[in-house]
Amino acid sequence: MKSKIGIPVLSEKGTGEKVLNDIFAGLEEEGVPFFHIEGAECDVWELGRHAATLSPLDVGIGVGKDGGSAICHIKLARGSPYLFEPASGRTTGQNAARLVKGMPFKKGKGV
Amino acid sequence: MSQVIAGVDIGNSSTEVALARVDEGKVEFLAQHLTKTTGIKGTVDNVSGIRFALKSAAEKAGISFSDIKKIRVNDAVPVIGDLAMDVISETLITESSMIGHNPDTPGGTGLGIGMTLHLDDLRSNAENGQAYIVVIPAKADYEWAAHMINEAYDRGVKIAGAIAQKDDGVLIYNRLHCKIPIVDEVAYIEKVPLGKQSAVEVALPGHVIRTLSNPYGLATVFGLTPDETRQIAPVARALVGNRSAVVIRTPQGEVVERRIEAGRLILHGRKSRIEVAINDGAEEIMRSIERAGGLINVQGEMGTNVGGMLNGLRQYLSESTGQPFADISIGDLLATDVLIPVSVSGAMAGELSMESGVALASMVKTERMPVERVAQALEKELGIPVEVGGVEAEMAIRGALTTPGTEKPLVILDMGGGSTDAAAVSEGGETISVHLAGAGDMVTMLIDAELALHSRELAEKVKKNPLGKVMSLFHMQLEDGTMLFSESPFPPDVYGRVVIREEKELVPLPVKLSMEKVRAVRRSAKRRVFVTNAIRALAYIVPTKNIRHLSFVVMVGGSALDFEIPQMVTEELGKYGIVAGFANVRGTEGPRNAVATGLVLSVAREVVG
Repeated sequence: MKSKIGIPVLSEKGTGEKVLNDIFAGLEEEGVPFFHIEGAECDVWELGRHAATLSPLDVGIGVGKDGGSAICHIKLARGSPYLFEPASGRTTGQNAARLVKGMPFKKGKGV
Repeated sequence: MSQVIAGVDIGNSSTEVALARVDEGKVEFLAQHLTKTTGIKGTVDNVSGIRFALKSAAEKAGISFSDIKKIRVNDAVPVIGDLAMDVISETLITESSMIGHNPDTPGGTGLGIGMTLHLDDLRSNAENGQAYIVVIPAKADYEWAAHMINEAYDRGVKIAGAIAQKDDGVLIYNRLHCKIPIVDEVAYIEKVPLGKQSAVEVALPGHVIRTLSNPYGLATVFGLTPDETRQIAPVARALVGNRSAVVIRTPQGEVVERRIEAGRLILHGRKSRIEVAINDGAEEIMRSIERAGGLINVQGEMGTNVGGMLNGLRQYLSESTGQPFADISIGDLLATDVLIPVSVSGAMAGELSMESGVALASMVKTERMPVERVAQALEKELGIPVEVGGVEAEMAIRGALTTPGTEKPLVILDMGGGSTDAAAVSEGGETISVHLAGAGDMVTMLIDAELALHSRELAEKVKKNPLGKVMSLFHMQLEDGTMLFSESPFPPDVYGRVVIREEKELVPLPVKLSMEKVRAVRRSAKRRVFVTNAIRALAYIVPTKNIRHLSFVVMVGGSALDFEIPQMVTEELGKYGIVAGFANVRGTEGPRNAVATGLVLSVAREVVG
């Protein structure tokens, strides 16, 4: 089901507001549209992969309630997020946007 | 009776050996090896490198080290091809009055003019009727900053633009009621003077600013007199090509463009003694060298940068060879103009300005240093008889002549690491040769300086390999516009970046550099050194001094292996009607191993006697 244009952010149930807002801010700063879906409780890699399958831009972000995030690309082999950050923040959103735009990544934690 | 002979060529940057079995004048080459030269060419320090190269070659040939019956080394004159660079212009912007950098995502577009005001003072100090540029420090969250600006705007305060420390220009812009240009990622925001007239300009994506990069645009914005306009011109120049910029007018601040006294060179030539100032630029220096008619020695003016540099080289060579200081001379210089990115004094976002400078490669040598000492040390260490062969140029020619399709008369161009040499042999076997300063090492220095890499190693990689730009997970664009596809995804550290395509890995370059820029600098550095020196060297060895009288040139040496230098030289020489090609020593070695091969052949001839 690919409806809205943008990067899906699929978050685990119970993910903190602040983590999500930081990721959204990063996406917005880079000027790439996004939408948020709250998912079930599961592994962050699984969330990321699922987000990528929902994405019209081929890139999706999975966020876990521990604050970790996985940026996944539909074209990559299953089971491997392209970027994984144990503590997400604004760079997570920025780097997902840059993966869509084909730009170099920002140095954040875990990149 | 057959015996194994080794030819050893000690060069500025590499030492090469060739091993051959010589039998009744018949020569059968067994192996060759190349290694980095240890120490300065022509000094005893070379021994350990030679030993290593010989061992490796013997291993390749499948013989034992003790089978080598004779070693012949080239008559290596101790030479340092050293390099130095001097900045000769400097833009001083005191009371820092400009910010010109390219954040990836500035906010809004257009030009805003107003007085700088801290975000915290918006409530208390903003007067109606005055336009403001808001200064937003990192501690202010984007939501809060937008809220404060909106509150002031709704009260009737005129907001013309903003400067933010963090990367949130777009975020703030999206939340504003007024549409203003915002420059973000200004690292040292605390340095921004408050209460001063300033202008913020942001261009549309893909465009560059037009008002602040134009001296008359600045004059219009700030109402400057012609005198003041002249003074602020360097600021405008430093902002050319940016997508966003801020200029703040600090009336007591000064913008000065200084010419640094880089000193003078005193050229002692065969014809005359000529003085030339480094500030006159590379072209004038090279013309003066020509006028001096072949350099005997060069001195730098005492108490200046160039004087210190040349004396430092003499000192260094004198210490490492044990020769008296007075016996060290400078036999050639190559000067090139460089544009060096230099940090602007008082920059607020790590800006650079392009300053002009001159790079010098010099050939420092000592005539009286017999290579015999190296030969003796080698003999003592290895227990194999060592002799010194003939003149290097003759050996190189002899080696080059093993290239299929060559015969005397022949002209060779030897492009190495430290020097560019040329030699010619007539039909009668007379040779003439010349050694010039400036070769591979100088190219590396120019690349390093002009791209501000601050790493010789990285510059060396840029020099030796073509570039690419990673466009997506699976494909990259090459320099010539063709696409290269990859089976596996490119790793995140090279994604979206310009990379050096080494054989086994991709080395990412700093984000700010574009592929076009890196390529342009790399190619121009090679041209300025090798094309210039090829013409100079050939002109020297043509009896008529007119290189149009040459018909063939054979290129040898390490830099003849480069992926583009031979083509550049070939193309340039083609303009003079000269056919140039690179050697294929012994039909197998390419442009390498010419001197070592020549040494072995010279021994073989004597064996036949």
